[in-house]
Amino acid sequence: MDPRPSLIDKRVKNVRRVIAVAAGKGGVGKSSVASMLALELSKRGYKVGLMDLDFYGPSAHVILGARGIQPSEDKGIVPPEVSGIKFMSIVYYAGDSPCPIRGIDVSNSIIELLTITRWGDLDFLVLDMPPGFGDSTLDVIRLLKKTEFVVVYTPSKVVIETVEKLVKMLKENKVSILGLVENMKTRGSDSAKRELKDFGIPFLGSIWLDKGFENSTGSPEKLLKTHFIKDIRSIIPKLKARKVR
Amino acid sequence: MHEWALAEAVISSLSEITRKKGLRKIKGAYILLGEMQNIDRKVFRFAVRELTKNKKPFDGFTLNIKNEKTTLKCRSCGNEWTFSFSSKMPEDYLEAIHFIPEVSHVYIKCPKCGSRDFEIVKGRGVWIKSVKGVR
Repeated sequence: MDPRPSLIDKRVKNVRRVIAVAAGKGGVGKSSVASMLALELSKRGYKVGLMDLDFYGPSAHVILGARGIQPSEDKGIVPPEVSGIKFMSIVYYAGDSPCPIRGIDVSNSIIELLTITRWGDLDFLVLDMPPGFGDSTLDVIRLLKKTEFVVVYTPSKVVIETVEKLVKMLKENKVSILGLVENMKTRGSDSAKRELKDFGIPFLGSIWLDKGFENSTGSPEKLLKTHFIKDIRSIIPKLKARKVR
Repeated sequence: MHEWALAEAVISSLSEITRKKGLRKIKGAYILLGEMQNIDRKVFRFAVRELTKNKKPFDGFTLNIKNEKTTLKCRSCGNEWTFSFSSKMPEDYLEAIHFIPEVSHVYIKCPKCGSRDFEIVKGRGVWIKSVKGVR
């Protein structure tokens, strides 16, 4: 019998809210939304944790400029802080190398990280989810019952169909969905938003395509001055209204 | 003291079993420690002792620990080999595997064909093999 899952609830006992930033597709900006959300919440004085669960393409550390840091050991592992955010990622252990692991190994890694990471008291734990809704999403649903999902999409027909599948899957599993965030919005891209209205999921807001974002990547100070963060600020108040199942 | 967290998981799991099975007492447990994770037995035992101190169901609790050799099997060529923590590998690689055994896929290749696509057949980490309790 695997003893680890029995400890996971206790590990997040003092975490008020767990918010998973997910999407059906890759490349829609989940990591950017998750990192910026964590950054803004931390700036507002909340106690925030950020966990990058994308083992194949972790990128939150690149966005936040989290280099040269490692967790410390104290009856488990304690995540180091980046701009006040307790930050956990596979990169501490895999470095910059590819980590070619299959489903069972993904599950085991998630379980291990959730078992040994001591988050302490947090107002928000933001999860940067990998693309799709495979092992990582299923494990988060199974192991972190208090998780609420934010679904990110870009206004593209290619993305919408997958978003629909993800939302259906989350609903079937009776998971809380806080709402939808449109990323990389451009003028005249409202058709996707109209299409998604039928899902019955709250619309949290749009993030305009920000050409200045790329140059700010890696510097939290610069990120806090972007148009992106301004759009995140207008989304945060809507996260308070918890949409239950 | 990563061992402490794993010991905590074992005690949490045993407490759960005690509740679910309606046990009055938990006399002992047989634990497998996979060599891949290189758990320090002394620290692990110490943590278990501390975590069960003054807990009534664990009064007189004994821990039986067995090390489990790590067997890896290549999915590409079928080769099976054993991994030992004394392997000639840089210290930081071994430490990473100690925390998350799955990152072994970053640092280990099949010695026969060089593939990183291998299965950890056994000897990964902590496993509760059996429990002895009194109803």
